[in-house]
Amino acid sequence: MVATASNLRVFSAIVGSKYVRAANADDAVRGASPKAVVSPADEEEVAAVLTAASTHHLAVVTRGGGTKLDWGAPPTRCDLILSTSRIEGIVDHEPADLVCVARAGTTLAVLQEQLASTAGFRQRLMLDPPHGDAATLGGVVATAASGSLRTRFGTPRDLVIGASFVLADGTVGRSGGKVVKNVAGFDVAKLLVGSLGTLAVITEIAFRLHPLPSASRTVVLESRSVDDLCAFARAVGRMQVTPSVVDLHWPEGLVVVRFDSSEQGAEVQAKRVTAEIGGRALEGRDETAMTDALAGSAWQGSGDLAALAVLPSRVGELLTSMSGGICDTVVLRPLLGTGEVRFPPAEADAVRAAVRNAGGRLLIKRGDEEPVGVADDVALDLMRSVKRRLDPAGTLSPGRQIGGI
Amino acid sequence: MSGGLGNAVLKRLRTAVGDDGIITAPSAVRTYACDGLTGRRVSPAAVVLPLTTQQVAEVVATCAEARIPFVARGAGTGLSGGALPVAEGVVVCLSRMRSILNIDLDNLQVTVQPGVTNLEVSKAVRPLGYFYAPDPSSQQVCTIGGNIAENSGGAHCLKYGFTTHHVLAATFVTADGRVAHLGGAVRDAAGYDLLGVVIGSEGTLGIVTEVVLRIVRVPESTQTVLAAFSSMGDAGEAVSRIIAAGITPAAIEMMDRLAIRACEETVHAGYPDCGAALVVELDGPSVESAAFLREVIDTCTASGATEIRVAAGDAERALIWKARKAAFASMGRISPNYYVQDGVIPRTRLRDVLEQIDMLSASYGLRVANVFHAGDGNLHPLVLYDDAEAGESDRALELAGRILEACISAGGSITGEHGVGSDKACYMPKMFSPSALGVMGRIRDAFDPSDLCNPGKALPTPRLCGEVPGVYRPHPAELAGVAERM
Repeated sequence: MVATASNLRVFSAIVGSKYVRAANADDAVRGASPKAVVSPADEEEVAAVLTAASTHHLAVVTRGGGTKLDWGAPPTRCDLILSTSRIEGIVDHEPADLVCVARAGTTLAVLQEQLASTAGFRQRLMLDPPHGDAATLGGVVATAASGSLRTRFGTPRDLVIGASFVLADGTVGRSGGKVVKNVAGFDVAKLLVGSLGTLAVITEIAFRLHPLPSASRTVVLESRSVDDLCAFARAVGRMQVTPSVVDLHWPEGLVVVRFDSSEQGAEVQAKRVTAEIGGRALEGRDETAMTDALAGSAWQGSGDLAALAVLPSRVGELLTSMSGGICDTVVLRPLLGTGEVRFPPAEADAVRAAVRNAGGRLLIKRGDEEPVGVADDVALDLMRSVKRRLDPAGTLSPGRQIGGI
Repeated sequence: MSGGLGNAVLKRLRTAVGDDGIITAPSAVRTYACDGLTGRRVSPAAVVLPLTTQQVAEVVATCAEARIPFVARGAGTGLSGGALPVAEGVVVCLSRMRSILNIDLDNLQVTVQPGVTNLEVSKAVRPLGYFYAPDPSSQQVCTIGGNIAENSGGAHCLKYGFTTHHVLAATFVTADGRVAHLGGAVRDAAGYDLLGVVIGSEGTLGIVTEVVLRIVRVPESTQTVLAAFSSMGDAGEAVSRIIAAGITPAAIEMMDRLAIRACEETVHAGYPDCGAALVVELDGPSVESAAFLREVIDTCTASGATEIRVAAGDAERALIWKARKAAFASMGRISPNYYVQDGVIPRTRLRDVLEQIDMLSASYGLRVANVFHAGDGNLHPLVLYDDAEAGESDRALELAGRILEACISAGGSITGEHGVGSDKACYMPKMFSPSALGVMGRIRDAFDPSDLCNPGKALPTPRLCGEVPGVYRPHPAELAGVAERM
């Protein structure tokens, strides 16, 4: 970035001098140090900031809550942080329609609180990604982050029904809308989910909501046997019950199955599981204590962090090869074959080998290792082509996506 | 004979798919001139019927090199003209690629070729206790490839989601004839979710030649309720209340008096003669569906239901659904012609928009039968008219357009499941700004810079929609085309 002072003036003219500042060490993104942090107030200012950045050939990294800024490869260039902190608030919440529209800088926690407290309705966006307290909606979408609820409700991909966004040249785009069923136009929002900020700055998102359940029951199976844990999870999957959560924790040696339903619905389903395939039902304080102890266990602590995926049928094989202590924490969703692992950087090769041997994928969220099981060359070429059409100058988070995109 | 394809191209196509895989005789290609939107017809120069991914890739590469437009086609049941051929172009018909390649119960996945019909997938896994959730009304004939192009829904997508939620991976022939693998049987493919944007792109980005689908466990219990109301408004109110109460039924379908009468004439399912009927289906663990059933009955009663029946068993349930799914086909009983509209509104606006449709129907002097997926606000008003009456088809089209405008003003969409195709491309600017359409155009360009893959569909073009892009005016040519359709 050349002529910092004059560039700062350019951005001050757009957002006001109060909302531009010189960057400091805390603003670095995986080692790349930006020169300035700009906080536009709305979509229009985002467009003006991006247009100015493009004109001055500055690379822009978008930041929400900053909780997952270390996910993805280091940016090859990073001149400006575009903070979405002022682009916040709920635009529209139609509780009877189970739909809400919120600005991208709104934190998930603020949204959930509002949804749970609307008079006459208790609702929730069924996402429980890591760092959910400080994470913003835009960040959750851009990183495709999800948690335990994924087993039943999916990822942001499944719950986003519309989005507004700004391209690097200032073009304002929109796709979807605020109705759940809608096939008008390309589903551009799908491309933004997991795009790591490389295609556009997301400004507004419409989500499908679900009612908050009135009760929950948790069944756990404790075992040191990987086979027993996996067999239990598979058996739950074959039963005609509808758990919200089926998580496998290692080294704890636990499968946690949670039913969210009516009082009776949760109770009856939990009892069926314990009666037919085993495990023990938790309630009340036990349940809360267990859930709290496990929440986010993969995300806390030091080391490298990776998301992995294998075929559900190969979860046991994968876990067996990892259970010998190469990972500090493994949290798997065995019915989907997905999960997260945290490991010392020295064990990276062993982790990669375990995943490769089980025919899986390893996407590094935090760390410098090469991912395992990436796209084929033609698909990569299409991805580059999409990037070129939407951000030809490589302004937005260059290099953060796979393949150096 | 075969238009302007030229001998070299024809020879190469023939080599790719074999003598029995290519149709060029004008009388024979005419069979492929339209899809379910039967009034718009264009005969292609040739139809090819490939058997493998490699054959599709070779056909597409041949077309791309010769700059010949090509249009993929499944069973041709689409209702928006998405498979309308291009004159002088090639139709790539995937109906011979109809094998179920693998059923993997351990991973709840089924691998199929695109010509497999929707229902065949469920039939294959039903005996094992599983099903494929998306269930468009045409599921007996429509293909998985077409479902992917349209992101098809169906009655049960209220609970189970759309095609996009049930496709894990696809083998994809790019617009220049290369083969890519999108998504994956192993979840969380790296990079951009290209599969997510290909699904629902109406065949404009490339051709899917093999698909991995997710299958779902058959629920323990299913309860089906048929509730009669004196008016559509009351029934709409019941729908809003059911959704607001936090119940997620597997399906909520609504039919008005006209639709009920038409279906009764064909199916004799014993629907009551009433202003509006709701079909509410609840499934899941018995304990949940039983509790929700009581709540739904109470809610319907509180909303003024005049009669409530709970299907006593599978046979009764099947009959209720048979009538509902026969709705479009039954219109012939009550009207010489009809036009199916497909609009979406927020569920909370049902009463309001249904009243507007009533008023529009009265002011145009044309009957509108309503049969639709009420649970997700997806309306299918059937505008009834008589082609033999001068000007009536134009009025019907105008009325259908006014209904769409009402949907857009209510905060909804111009299509919930039938797609934009060639039918509604010119309505897109009513829903999206020129810059938003521009972004979609850039994505189209990223996949198919030569504009050969199903050109003119899904997105508006100046040629189709008047010379000023982004501003909708009913173009004389468009009106003429529509008049022909009616």
